[in-house]
Parts: sequence; structure tokens; C-alpha cells
Amino acid sequence: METHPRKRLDIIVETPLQRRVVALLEDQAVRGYTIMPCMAGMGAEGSWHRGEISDAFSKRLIIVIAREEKAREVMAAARELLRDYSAVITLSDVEVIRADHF
Amino acid sequence: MPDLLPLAIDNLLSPIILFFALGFAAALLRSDLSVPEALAKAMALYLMLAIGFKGGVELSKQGLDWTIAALLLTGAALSFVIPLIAFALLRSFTRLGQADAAAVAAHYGSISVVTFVAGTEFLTLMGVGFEGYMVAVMAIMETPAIVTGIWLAWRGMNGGAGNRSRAERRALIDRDLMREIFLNGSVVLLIGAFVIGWITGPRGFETIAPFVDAPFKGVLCLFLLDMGLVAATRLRGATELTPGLLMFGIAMPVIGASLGLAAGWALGLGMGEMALFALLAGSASYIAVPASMRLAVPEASPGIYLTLSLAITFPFNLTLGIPLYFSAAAALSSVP
Repeated sequence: METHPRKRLDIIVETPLQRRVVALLEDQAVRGYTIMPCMAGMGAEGSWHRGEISDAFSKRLIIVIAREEKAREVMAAARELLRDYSAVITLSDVEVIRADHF
Repeated sequence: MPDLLPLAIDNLLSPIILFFALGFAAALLRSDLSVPEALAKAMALYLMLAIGFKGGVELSKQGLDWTIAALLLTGAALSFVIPLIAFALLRSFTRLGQADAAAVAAHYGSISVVTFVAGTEFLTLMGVGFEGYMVAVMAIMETPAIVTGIWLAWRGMNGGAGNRSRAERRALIDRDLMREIFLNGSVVLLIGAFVIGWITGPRGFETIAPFVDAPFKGVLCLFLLDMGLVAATRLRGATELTPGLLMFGIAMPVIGASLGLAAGWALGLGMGEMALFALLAGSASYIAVPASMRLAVPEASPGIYLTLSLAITFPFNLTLGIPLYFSAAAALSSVP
């Protein structure tokens, strides 16, 4: 089966920032993204979990798959946006089946 | 002044407080008891809808007068000013930095809906009435503190140590943050339900009373069970709490409530309204303010502000604060 190399950008942010990241993705004219809720975790600022009374401390995983050049542009813009916030931004290799979608 | 001890015991032995204690104990003992997240959110919506609606219905029976306008303005002013006092206390008596102190201060200027609801239940238990417009006062006191908190945090910020400068920060006060602050879901629902209650009046109330009235206390018990679980879980994970902060978490609600009592007395409020006004001024937010602080003051640690408001001040107000402010309001309302 033929596959095509692409980059996958993962951004984990606190829920209040989701709208800003989505606005950034739309600004950058990405062709698609997926947002997933996160259950619990631990990191530089200690552990956290869903189910606090406030949404402020739950997290979202935002996934973008794009060509390398685009993915790096978005990554740089996301880094700028999230400089002061707790966030995890990673870039990794993936293979996709439908080249025209990403 | 009515004797405080029997009042406190009456309050502590009410089902809502006992369910809170059950949740608190269960989490401390590491039981696997938990309330599903979606249900907790739905209950919070239900409580705000019901309390807002019932407040509006009461107002439609009584009609408007100038006291209400004066009280709304005073409530907003207190919400602006209380964070300044909290900030000064934190900077003088604890080692909190500017951002942390400002974020904590914002929480104490704002209000807690559940504390208010528990206060109204206590008044009902004591057979003391209160005016429906107190719900509108609660809604208006929710947000001014956020503005003061952000101002305190950003004051003199110079962009050192890799942080954004104030000018860069200002770019963050965009429509998104404004929406977060002023069109916060709880404010919209409280005011919206209040207006609907006001428009539809007692006839509207009759049609939905089986939903907003009959199950109210039971839902409140289940919600407080969850609050107990959440508060104790927070407390267990609290590593940044110092004795100074602990004292602040208990002293600050009393200071805020004293201001509320003084203002309420000056405005000539009745005993029930004065007690609720004190409770509002003394309560601290844990829903609306954390979200705004996460956006506007990311340097501040939620381990400090959320733990203080949710795990120290909320239980204090719920158990001891309510009867304390009530007996003070009772004493004051007999002073001419």
C-alpha cells in the first residue's frame, strides 16, 4: 500500500486556551485538526486530573497533520502563542494514506 | 447577638453539610467514591438555574426600589476593592510573589454560588426570609474582582526573565478574554434565569416548581458530596500551603464579611439580606476566576489559589462562616 510522509503536530494545552489555539490554526489555514480531552497527567507543574469543579485545569490534546513545512510554521506560531503557558508541543513523523487530505 | 454555638450546631447537622463532610472524609480516606464529571457540571447548571429563577420570581412579587440599585453598586464596589485588601495582606504577611498574590486576591473578591445557596438554606432553616434580588447582587459581584486581580498582576510588569512585557500582555486582552470574564457561563445563566423568573413571576414558578423547587435540596446534597471529595483531594495534594496562607484562608473571609456587614448595615438591609451580603463578600470563587487567571496570569500557581479558595475558605464558610455572619447580622440589625 502506498503511503505518504507527513508531520504530526501535537499540542497539549489547558482547556481555557483551546479557543486561542484553534484561532491560530485557522489563521495558519491548516487543512484539518482534531481535539481530544485528556484524562489525567503529571508534569513540571505537578499532577492534574479531569473532574475539578472548574474547567481551568483540564487539558486538551490538539492534533494537526500537515506537510513538514506547514507543520513547522504552525509549531513556531504555537510556541509564540503559548510561551507563558504550560503546554507540550511535539512534532513527529507519520504516514498518511490520502495525500490530498493533508 | 444570638448564641453562636446552637446556631453552628444546627448548621453542622443539616444534611447538606453532613454530605459535604462525607465527601471530604471519603477522599481523605482514599475511597474510590466519585461523582461523574458531567453530572457534577449538570448539577452546577441546575443549581444556578434554580437559584436565579427563584430570585427573579421573588423580585416580581416585591417590585423594584432604590435599595436594589444602591446594593448592586455597593456589591460591585466591594468586589473591586476586596482584592486590594487581600493583595496587601498577602504581600505583607506571606512570601507570595506579585502574580500569585494577585491571583489569590482576585478569587477572594469574587463570590461562590454554592456558599450563597448553602447560606439561603441556613436562613430558611432559621425561618428568616430574604429578598430575591440578592441573587442579582451575587451575579454582579462575580466579575469586578477579576479586573482588579489582572491589574494587580500586570502592574509594573517589565517583561524581564523571558516573560512578556506589559504591552505584549495587553494584546492578550482580546475579545476572547473579555468574553471569558464578562460572558462567563455562570454569570449568563444566573442573570438569564433571574430575568426569566422576574418576567414569568409566580405563575411561571408554578409551572416549573416540580423541577426547580422540589429536588433542589437533594441535588444540593449530591453536589456538596462532590465538593467535599474535590476539596479534600485538593487538600491532600497541597504542597504549597504554608501556615501563613492557611491563616489568610480563614482570616480573609471574615474580613470580607465584616465589610459586607458594615455596608449592609449602612444601607439599612434586613437581617437576611445583611447575612447573605456578608457571606457574598466573604466567599471566594473557584469556578469563574480560575479560568480567567489561567489565561491572564499564567505564572500564578493554581496549587495556591485554588487550594486556598476551595479547600480552606469554602469549608470554613460552609461550616462556621454561615452561622457566624448570621449571628453578627442578627445583632447588627437590632442596632438602630
